Amino acid sequence: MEVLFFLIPLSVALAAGFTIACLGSIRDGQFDDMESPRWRVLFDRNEKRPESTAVKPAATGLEMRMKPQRSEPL
Amino acid sequence: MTTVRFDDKIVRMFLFATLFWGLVGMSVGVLLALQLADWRFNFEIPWLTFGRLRPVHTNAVIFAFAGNAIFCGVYYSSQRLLKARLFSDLVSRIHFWGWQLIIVLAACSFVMGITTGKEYAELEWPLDLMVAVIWLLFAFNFFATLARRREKHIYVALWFYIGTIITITVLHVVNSLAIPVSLTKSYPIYAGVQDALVQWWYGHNAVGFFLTTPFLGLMYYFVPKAAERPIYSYRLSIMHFWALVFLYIWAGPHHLHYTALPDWAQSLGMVFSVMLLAPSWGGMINGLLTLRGAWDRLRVDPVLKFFAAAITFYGMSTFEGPLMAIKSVNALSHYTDWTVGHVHNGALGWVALLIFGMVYWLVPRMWNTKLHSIALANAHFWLAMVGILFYIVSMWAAGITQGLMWKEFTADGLLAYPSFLETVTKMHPYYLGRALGGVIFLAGLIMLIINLALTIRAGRFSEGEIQVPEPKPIEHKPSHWHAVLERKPFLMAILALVVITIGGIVEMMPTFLIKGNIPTIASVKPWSPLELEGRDIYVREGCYACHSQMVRPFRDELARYGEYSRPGEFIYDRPFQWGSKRTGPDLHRVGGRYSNLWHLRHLEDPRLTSPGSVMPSYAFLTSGVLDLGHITRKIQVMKDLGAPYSEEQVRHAGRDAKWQARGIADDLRRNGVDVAPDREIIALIAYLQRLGTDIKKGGPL
Repeated sequence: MEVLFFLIPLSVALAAGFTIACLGSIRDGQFDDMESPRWRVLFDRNEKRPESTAVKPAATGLEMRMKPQRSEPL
Repeated sequence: MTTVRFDDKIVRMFLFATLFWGLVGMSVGVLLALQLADWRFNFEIPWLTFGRLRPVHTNAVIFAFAGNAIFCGVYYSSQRLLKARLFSDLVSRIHFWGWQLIIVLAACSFVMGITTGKEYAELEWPLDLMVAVIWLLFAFNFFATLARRREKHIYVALWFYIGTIITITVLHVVNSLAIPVSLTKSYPIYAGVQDALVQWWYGHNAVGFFLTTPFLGLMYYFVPKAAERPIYSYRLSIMHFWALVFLYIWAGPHHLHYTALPDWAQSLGMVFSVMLLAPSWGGMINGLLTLRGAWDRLRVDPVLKFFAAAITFYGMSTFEGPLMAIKSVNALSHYTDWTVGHVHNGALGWVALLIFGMVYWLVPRMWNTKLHSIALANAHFWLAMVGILFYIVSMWAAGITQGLMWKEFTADGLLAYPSFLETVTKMHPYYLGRALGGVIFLAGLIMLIINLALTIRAGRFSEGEIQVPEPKPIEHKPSHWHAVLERKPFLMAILALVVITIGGIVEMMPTFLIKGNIPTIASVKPWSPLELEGRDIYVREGCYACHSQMVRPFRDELARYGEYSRPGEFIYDRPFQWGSKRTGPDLHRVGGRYSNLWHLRHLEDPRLTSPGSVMPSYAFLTSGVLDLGHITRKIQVMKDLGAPYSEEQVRHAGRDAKWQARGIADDLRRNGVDVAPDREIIALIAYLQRLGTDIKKGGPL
């Protein structure tokens, strides 16, 4: 049971160390550039699907192919 | 500029596999639900008994349905996030076909009764090896793609994938360590309490790292894409990841509250489980707020409907989980259907709904068309909602009712429901409600498959491609430690591994190292050869799916079952069979309680001795001849693992088994029933009669 006196402080120290590191980095402004990644993920609009494999453009509605249900501007 | 064409064919393969195995896994689930509502659905066919089918269901929905969905979503999103085609088409194909082969072999082996008897890790050692190889190929393919990415920053979804890959590797290897007896049988290197701790360290983290982190990664990719909105807070998502990786690994012992596990380990598990609420709800809020400004589209877009509901269910189950991990709540909820309800809250509500949203979004894009019917998808959504509602409300009511009935005492201080059976028959309406919920949910899945099949027929599949600039040197500006870390996937993978390993080792090592945790009881002796064979039949038939072997130190359990279970009683149990659900009563003190004849009658036709029982009939054990071909090897392996058998006992294991079997057969004959001593049922009776009796031989405790 003595191991308890080692275990709990150790785990709390680990958790605390991680929390301090995280809070510290926020205070230092390390996450200030955390804006662009969340936008960049949306910008793969240049992704194309080769025309050659799409048949009957009129029937499949190629103009809708990337955004079939888009209802409002971003 | 150069063109990068994504490997969407592999995405398509995994997508089809997801839907196929979803259909199989959920159909088996419905059959199991019906079996509990009416035992006749076991059809008196050994292959279709509840105990053997249950691992088919759990493994099919977790590793086949959810597993293939993970690979599908990870391969689709990673290629786009990394702006690179998957490293190797060949490795991808081996990964796909290897995984499907494992699933088929797993299903066959479970119905044949080939199982390790450890929940969610039932695969026997050859399949465990195959899983390790295929999983490492997946890891290799992923990390090799990561290494040649054209995007410096590693998006948060990819971290969740990295965390998943690393942790699952460690969990699977550590929990599967076993000594083979034959191609289809092995004994784990851990016994009793240690096996229980390792198993639930694995079991809980299988939930955490197979059903949570990969799906959170998918959420952080597909929800912003479908909503056309960025994640609400990128910062929060980073904290979500690290906090989850760090906390999850400690929470396993909450599956073992009030058992023979050392008390401090239980408290540790409880504290960390409660702490898990914070990052989980942070992630839920992050996911839901991503939909801000797009709420109006929820009315018309089924994809967003599924995503919003899935995230809400994630919040619900990550609230329910910590609640149930509190010891005083667990005292009531554990071993009841509340646990089953909680699992399905997460599995149907979070995992399945997220997968549905993902495939509804993916298929029209990959096949360059529109969803065949939005109305049908909306109908599916509401069917799924109603199905889940029926399921979890039935299970809440069943679990709390049964838990309270077990604990109820009369004014005279006697058990109000001394017969366990009374609490079983009471469950009948709830079990019907659960089966109905399952049927409704399955009907929704069939609608999805029809809808997507018609969509695919109308469209034309093609692979996506993007234009990327010619490779140029990446300008490297070492800035913040976190940003530096993000650019180094291997370093980050190692750091994640270190964090996880520290958690695991600190939690488990004391039990290995400190003898004081497992006081050995002098009167506890190893199983006799026949009892060991009987125990292996108990494992084979999956008895642990419905019967626990762990009397907890509560007044009602002492009154109902007898002495509470001590850690030292399990030191020869490989695997441990504590169970996690009491559809039937606990069996740890069943030894000596009934006659051999009673056991024979009860196993052959449970309704004969226990009217209203939902247990399958095990008459086939009376016709089955016990295979003693491996008994010497079995005893030898047990001896190698530390059981004090003498050389003589190893050599004469077969003879001893036959001698003991004859004794039981003679006893049955004296009572008017003729059963040949070489039948499997004799071995099972021998085991049941020995269970939990050793402790009484040592005099007062």
